[in-house]
Amino acid sequence: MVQITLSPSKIMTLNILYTRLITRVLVLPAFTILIGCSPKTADQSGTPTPTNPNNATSSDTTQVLVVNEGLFQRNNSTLTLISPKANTAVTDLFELKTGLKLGDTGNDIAVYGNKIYVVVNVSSYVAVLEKSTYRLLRQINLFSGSIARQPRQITFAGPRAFVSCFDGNVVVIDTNTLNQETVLAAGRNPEGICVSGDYMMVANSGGLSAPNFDNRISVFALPTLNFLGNITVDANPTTILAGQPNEAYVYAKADYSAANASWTRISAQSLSVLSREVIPSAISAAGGDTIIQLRSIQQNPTIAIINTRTGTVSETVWPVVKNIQSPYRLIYNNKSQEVWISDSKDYVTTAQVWRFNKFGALINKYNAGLNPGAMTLLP
Amino acid sequence: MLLLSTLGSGVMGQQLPLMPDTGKPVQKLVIESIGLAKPEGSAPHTVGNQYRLQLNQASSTNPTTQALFLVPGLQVRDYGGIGGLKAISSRGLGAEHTQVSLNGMPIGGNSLGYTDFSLIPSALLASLMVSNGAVNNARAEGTASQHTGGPHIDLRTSTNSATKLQVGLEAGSFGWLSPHALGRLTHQVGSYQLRSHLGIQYQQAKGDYPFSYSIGNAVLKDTRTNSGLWSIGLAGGLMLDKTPKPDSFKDLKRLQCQVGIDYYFNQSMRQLPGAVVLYNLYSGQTLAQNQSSVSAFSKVVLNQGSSVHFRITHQSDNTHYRDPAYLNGTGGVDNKYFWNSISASTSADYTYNGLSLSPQLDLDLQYLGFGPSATDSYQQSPKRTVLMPLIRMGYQPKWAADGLGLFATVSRWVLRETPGRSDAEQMQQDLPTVGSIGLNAQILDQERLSLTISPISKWHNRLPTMAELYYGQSAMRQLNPEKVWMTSLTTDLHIRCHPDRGNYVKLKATTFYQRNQDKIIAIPTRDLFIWSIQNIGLAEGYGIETFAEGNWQLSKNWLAHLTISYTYQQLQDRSNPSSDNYGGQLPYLPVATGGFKVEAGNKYIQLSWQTFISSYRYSLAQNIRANLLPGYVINDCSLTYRFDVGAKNRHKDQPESRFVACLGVNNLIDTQYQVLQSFPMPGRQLKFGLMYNIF
Repeated sequence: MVQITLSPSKIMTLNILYTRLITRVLVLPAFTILIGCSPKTADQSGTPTPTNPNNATSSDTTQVLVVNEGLFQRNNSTLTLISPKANTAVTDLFELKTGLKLGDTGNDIAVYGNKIYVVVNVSSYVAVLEKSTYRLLRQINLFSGSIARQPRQITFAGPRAFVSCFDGNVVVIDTNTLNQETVLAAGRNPEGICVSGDYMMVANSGGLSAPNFDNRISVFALPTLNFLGNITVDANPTTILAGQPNEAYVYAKADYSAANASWTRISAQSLSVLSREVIPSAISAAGGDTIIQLRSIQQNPTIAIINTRTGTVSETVWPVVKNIQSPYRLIYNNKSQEVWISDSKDYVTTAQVWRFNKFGALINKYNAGLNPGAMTLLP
Repeated sequence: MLLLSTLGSGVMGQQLPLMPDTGKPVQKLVIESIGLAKPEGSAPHTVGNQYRLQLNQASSTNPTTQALFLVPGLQVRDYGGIGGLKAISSRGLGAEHTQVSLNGMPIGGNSLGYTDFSLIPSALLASLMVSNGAVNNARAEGTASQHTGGPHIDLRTSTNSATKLQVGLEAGSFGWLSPHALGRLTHQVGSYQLRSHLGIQYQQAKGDYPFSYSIGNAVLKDTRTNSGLWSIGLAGGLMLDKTPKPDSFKDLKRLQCQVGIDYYFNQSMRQLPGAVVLYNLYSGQTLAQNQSSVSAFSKVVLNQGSSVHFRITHQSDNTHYRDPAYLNGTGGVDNKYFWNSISASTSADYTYNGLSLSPQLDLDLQYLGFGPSATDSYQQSPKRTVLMPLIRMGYQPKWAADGLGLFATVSRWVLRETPGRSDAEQMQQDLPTVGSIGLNAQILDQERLSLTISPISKWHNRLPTMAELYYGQSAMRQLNPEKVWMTSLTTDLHIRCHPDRGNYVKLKATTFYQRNQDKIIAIPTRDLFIWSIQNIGLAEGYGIETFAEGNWQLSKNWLAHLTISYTYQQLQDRSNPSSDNYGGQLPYLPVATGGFKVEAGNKYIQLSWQTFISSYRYSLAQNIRANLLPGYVINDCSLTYRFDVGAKNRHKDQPESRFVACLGVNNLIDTQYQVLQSFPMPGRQLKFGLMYNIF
């Protein structure tokens, strides 16, 4: 009598062989005979939109890293590296370099020292990459027990990184050891975060409790991390950008209607509001003493250039910007004075990043992934 | 034969839940008990595709969806796990187009507009009928709001009157435990017969299951949190039937009359299996629901050409969705919704000289309430009134006998929404008259061969659901109805190899073209967390659905049955030629699906093997590699054994087998796959069941 004993690995191998037999030998030929059924796909990564010969030119070769949010609960966040010199855009950079998926809903990206920090919201972690090689140095999971903290944005001061988290906290990370140093309690659903002078400020949107939004900016002292108090602004503050030392600018979306959104200048030192104006929907970015703002996104977009030192605001129209279907995020290169604006299109198709010179002329457009939600310059 | 009767004959049984499903005596081998699929609708009875499926209780913890896999053109959208939401859709239409009833009574009604099959007490069911034709509501069934033009699935409880009282217990993987009890009572007084039945099933499952998931080059192995399902389902009916004896049926002075009530109730609590998001596998969402349907109906057959039907149904759905621990409570959700509907439907048939006319009037009142803690921005209580007059016409020339039939329907919705919406009048104007037109022609009708063709064209709307209009920030109150135009050609070929032995081969093929305008879907608008329901453009395409089955008497005691189905469909986004999505296959719609089922059995033992195959799909409208979901192959098998207990002393009215044991294995080779992205499906599962017919 012959007895055959199969180990679990052999059983697994047989399973795989059986599946292949069914799918490849029996099924696929039948499908192919009937319908020629094979996916017709086009991988759009790495192929920039051809440059329009009428576009403006630029000698600046600064690379741009884009984190594409993907779609909620799809695990399809990606990282795009735009290289103007080579005129290429490589989406899937993260997977290419690490062999891993980035995760779900990448929300922010920043370069600090020799490291790149990618904040992944729903997957609830911060990926730290080596700047020169894109090697994954650490995956910093941000959980409270089994509950995801859901990090949103990141900023830095000295040897610390500050990560705002939807769970009402700011996680402090040591940028040398990449360990979590402490957790600071803030308001409801912190989002925008910045460091200005001797203060770290975080905007509490309360967006997950809509329409019961939060309206506070939590202020912490540096380097002690002492909580100093809150500054009350309009409802649903989501963006906060550093201005002059110890000052910041806050964009509050209110109830998402254009009529109620506001732009507020605050002082962390006096915990007070310095000025406030109602502005239409806007996306903003800071660079040096300048804040660039794209206003009236849905109607007649204008570009506002805010000098944080003098407080002057000049507003102009860049005609080409009207061609952007869904302006999503913006960054400003204060050296070349170029502006990069991402276009999410219809939010479910791969997007593009538009590059403008300081006069609003289009330099180039690059393909990116789904919903390019944050960008950073890679000097 | 009267045309209108024939048009609806496949559906007639739905009103008679306690009557045998066919007029033929049950075969000795009890074919239906081993779950053989029997598509019905040879011409001229069919108005489109009809498939009648016997449920194989051994096949799965959810034999209903298991059976639907082999219906061409249908897709089961499964979020995974025993308690994971399971919705049925067809030909790229949303699940809201699918109408579901139990013995003809609308069930599963809720503000979401689709039925979750994971909660249906399948142990109480014996068969189901899928109709994907031109007339979904031929006998005062359904509700006005459900005239969507999509498939109609009628679930049926057992009609085996030999079983008076049955108890059963099922157990299996993931802590599955499900006892059930069924009872039937028949009482005859003169020409009156009182029939009642009642079934109750309890289901519970822990549900956690391991899965593996590709994250680039690496594979994530973990356990999916999907625990805490329990539900109680109850289905029953009571009917008083005054039916003349068959030999006196031609006596036109005697009425056939039925009155009765049907009822269905389901109470459940489950944790929702959240999406598997990399590094964050926790889902604290729970969903508590109780759904009920109570229906009273009557049917009076005045003579062979005239009848009147009436049904009134109350449905309710109370939903409590909680996610208290989300973000440590800072984003906690605790929403309650209360949905109620009263629908009345009446129809009459009149036939003279081959020409038939059937007017029908449906009225549907819906009410949606919000719990005090609901975080929806819209806190009012919307109400909806839908009135739908429908006229069905048919003509069957005398010279054509049963071989030719023409039919047409025409109907129009009258809609009122309160509180009023700014464009209510526009929405009403956007509800064009809908209807269908078709032909059944039996080209061949010989002893061993019959061939029928049925071209059909239909125009239908699908109203926005209450959820799409009023739930949360994603709701949009300015939605227009979805419009569907579909034209198809069905060919039925029936080959009876040895009619005396019951051997046959049936082949059915349907080609269709479909155009779907103003599709209602959710897309992110302001950012990824703010999605909005919108009418988006146009979907258009074609497909072919094929189905074949064969029955073979292998020997004196052994019977074998083979079922094969295959669907190919290209339904594409044709909204905006300048979009990257233009021409792409609709999300989650496989280009090709198919499968086969082999069964063999004798009086005691029944064996079944089922394989289901799905081709690749795209998770988003843009058909690029990043959105590609690979195809998969799932294999299931089952064994049922009937113990011949007490055979010598069995009374002629008692069931043939008093004790039945079954064993089923789903996903036999432990395939790791996803129907929907980020929702991994369970691997290998076992199910064991015992049934005892007490008397």
